[in-house]
Amino acid sequence: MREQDSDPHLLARMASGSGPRAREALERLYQRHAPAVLAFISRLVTDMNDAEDILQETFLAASRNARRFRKGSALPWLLSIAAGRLKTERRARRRRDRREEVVAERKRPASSPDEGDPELELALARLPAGERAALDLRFQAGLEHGEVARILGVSLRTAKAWSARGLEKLRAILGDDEEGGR
Amino acid sequence: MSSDPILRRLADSRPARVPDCAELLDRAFPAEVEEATTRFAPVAAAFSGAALLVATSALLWIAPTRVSEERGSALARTALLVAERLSDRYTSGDLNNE
Repeated sequence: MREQDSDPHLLARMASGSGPRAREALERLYQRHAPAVLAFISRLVTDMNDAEDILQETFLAASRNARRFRKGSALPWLLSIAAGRLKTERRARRRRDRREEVVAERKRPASSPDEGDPELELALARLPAGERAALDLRFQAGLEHGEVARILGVSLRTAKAWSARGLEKLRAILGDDEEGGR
Repeated sequence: MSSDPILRRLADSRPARVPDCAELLDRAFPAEVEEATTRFAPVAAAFSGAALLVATSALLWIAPTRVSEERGSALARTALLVAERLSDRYTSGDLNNE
């Protein structure tokens, strides 16, 4: 990757305010990291429309706070923003659900069993949210345990335990099929 | 790439479609803010940072009092964004290169 295409350079161009250069920088950052950020969000929400809204809010917040970014890959930073948005969204949803006492029917599941690896998606859907998120951050986004812990707002020990337990459960759920020569 | 089949499946799994970012770009860079920033950039380049701040504060104070509340809020918001961007460009040195 050329240096001017690196995440810190793109963020610096976004922080310079406006114009086609800042716009193009945001577009590039989105193309580079949106798939991983959306994958993480969609592990934790049940509706794809909600996941896409949170994805957009995440990149909008990144654009507004670009000058706060320092160095390295922007992915952990973007995932932290997404995790914050998810918490806010969950709190708002809990308040709404309590008020209305009826949860609306989900129209577009975030992890559709018809797309990608349906068997894996169904297996992941059976895990608690924390374990799903830890597995995604560790094995999809490729982050270290420390970064996983920071993004999820838990201790290092908990992050490690969630990854290990989640993986163990996945193996138990998918194990027979794997052994069957998949 | 891991040789563990489950880790490999996890690493390969991605949502099927990421929405395009047209709406995001429009929200991050509203047309009226972009236009005003471009229009005021040559004027702002002639000011010092302090003068720019005073002029912006005056604009923020005047806008809501001269027009209806709703229109005033929108104007003030736009003015604030324009001022922020001009200020960023002033700080980064971009403005003086216009």
